[in-house]
Amino acid sequence: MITVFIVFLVLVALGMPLAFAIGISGFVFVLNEPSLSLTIPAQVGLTQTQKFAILAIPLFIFAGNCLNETGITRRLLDFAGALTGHLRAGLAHVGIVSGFMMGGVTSSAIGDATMFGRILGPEMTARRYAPGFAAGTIGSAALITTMVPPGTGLILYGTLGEVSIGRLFVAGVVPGALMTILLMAAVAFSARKGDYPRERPERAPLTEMLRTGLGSIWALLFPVILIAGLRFGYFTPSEAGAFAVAYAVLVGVLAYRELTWERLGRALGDTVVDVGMIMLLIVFSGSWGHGLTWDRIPQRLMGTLLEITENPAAIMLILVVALLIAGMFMDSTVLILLLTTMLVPVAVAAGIDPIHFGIVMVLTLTMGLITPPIGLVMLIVCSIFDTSVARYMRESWILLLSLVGLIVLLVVFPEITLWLPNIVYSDG
Amino acid sequence: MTEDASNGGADRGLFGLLGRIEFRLAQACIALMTVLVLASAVARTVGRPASWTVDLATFTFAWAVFLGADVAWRRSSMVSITLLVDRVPERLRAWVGLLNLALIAGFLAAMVWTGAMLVRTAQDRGLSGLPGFSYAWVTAAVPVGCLLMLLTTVVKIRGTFAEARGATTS
Repeated sequence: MITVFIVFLVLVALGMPLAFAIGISGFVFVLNEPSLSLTIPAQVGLTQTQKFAILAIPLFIFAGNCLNETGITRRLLDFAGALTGHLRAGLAHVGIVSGFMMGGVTSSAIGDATMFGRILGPEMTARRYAPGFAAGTIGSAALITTMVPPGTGLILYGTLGEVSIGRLFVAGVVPGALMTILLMAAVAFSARKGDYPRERPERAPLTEMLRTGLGSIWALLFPVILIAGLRFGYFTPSEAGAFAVAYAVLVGVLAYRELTWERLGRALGDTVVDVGMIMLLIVFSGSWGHGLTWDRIPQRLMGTLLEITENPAAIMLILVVALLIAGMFMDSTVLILLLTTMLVPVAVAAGIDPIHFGIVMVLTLTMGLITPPIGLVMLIVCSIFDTSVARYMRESWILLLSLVGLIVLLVVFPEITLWLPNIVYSDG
Repeated sequence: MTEDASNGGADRGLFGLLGRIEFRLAQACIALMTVLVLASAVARTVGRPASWTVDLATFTFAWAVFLGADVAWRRSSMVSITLLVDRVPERLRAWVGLLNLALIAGFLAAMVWTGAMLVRTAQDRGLSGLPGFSYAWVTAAVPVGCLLMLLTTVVKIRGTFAEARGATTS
């Protein structure tokens, strides 16, 4: 596997698309093991698409793209504006609160960053927000999406690690809410220093909050329906995804009356590209999974870790630091793909709850989306606000720091993550 | 929705037509898959589970993935890490890009070949929920999708050469 790993790193350094870098290095593994059939990459790759559970990913992506076309985003922003517009640096708060609410609709941080940047960006620039701070706010707000159900990262982790996706979804709610609060605190701190304007002189009247809240009720209800449906076994995660698409179409046609055939076609077209992109990674990573099991990498890793310490919290801390570093240099989806099957057995053997580990792992890896040198979301928001990474770091470090703080909190206190799923699934 | 401008006008002609067909097919696959999964959920709820819906859904998904992969590859929307390559001098960068594309082409050719072998061995394997429907139809998504991506790669290589020639003459 060492050769495979080196080949992979060299190809990535050459700027090859990650999917092909994974595919080629995985192929090298099969070439190196004469006892393995050459058809294995094609075979295990295809197998990835034939698991019913993995269908949840394209379906939730499709549902999110549909909801985006229904005008729900604008309504959520209005509601967030009514709730937080009176605070100092109102627009930044609006971005973060809508990040939390949108999280219940969309499943990918990259999509959300692009969308929020496009909608809130011009206004933030007009209000003289420091570009690095504005970029940091939008980027970290988009990150909340990964924690609030449904999120692609958690679905992937659940499918590959054979952990209940329903429980993972429930477990993400409290960390997602905490993330929102911590980020708002960080914004409030920066707002005082930067003297950013309020969007409205005083708190919005209750009637406006109610009106805008009712306007976005369909988006807010969705994660609740989703979790209830999964909890009571009305549907499996994949069926929930299909149901989500139907829900999005119904809301768009009946409630908001903004979804047209043209927009539905556009959502479908975007889905084709999104699915092709993410699934090709998953398909080509099949041989890696095969190789890792073949070479008994999880067992060896476990042995090494146990030689250092036997304390579960310490093992988790070591893993988290490693994940944080890995996440800074590699795409989070790729890492979830390559590492889940490897690390879940290690976590379980070390006495760490796989749900707890999943939340921490996905959050830690997605942190890499907004950190230098190659955070994808960071690069997107920096280009939207036309600013440099150095400036982004200088003006947004406190946002990043609050997220690192959250990860430490979650590692040290597993109860934060686990109490809600334990209540929801108490008799199961 | 814009095609990559550097492909030397390849969005016209046969290659462009192929791209539009695969895009429509992939869209149809995703739509059909959604309906099928929904149908399977409903069937299960009313107490008449229909396993053919699940088999057919994963079949359409396999095709959506491999066709969609080529759509994404054509639009160059695949994630890559260009941190190091961006620091390389421009002349050398074109060669690195060419090397990448050549390696990808070799890999895809291998996938077409081994995928075709897989189709042959899958011919006598059926699907439990769909009697008379050979698993080979599912398997075929691999060589066909990889062949389409191979074609795109070749067009990209040609585009790189055309660009280099344009740069030296102008």
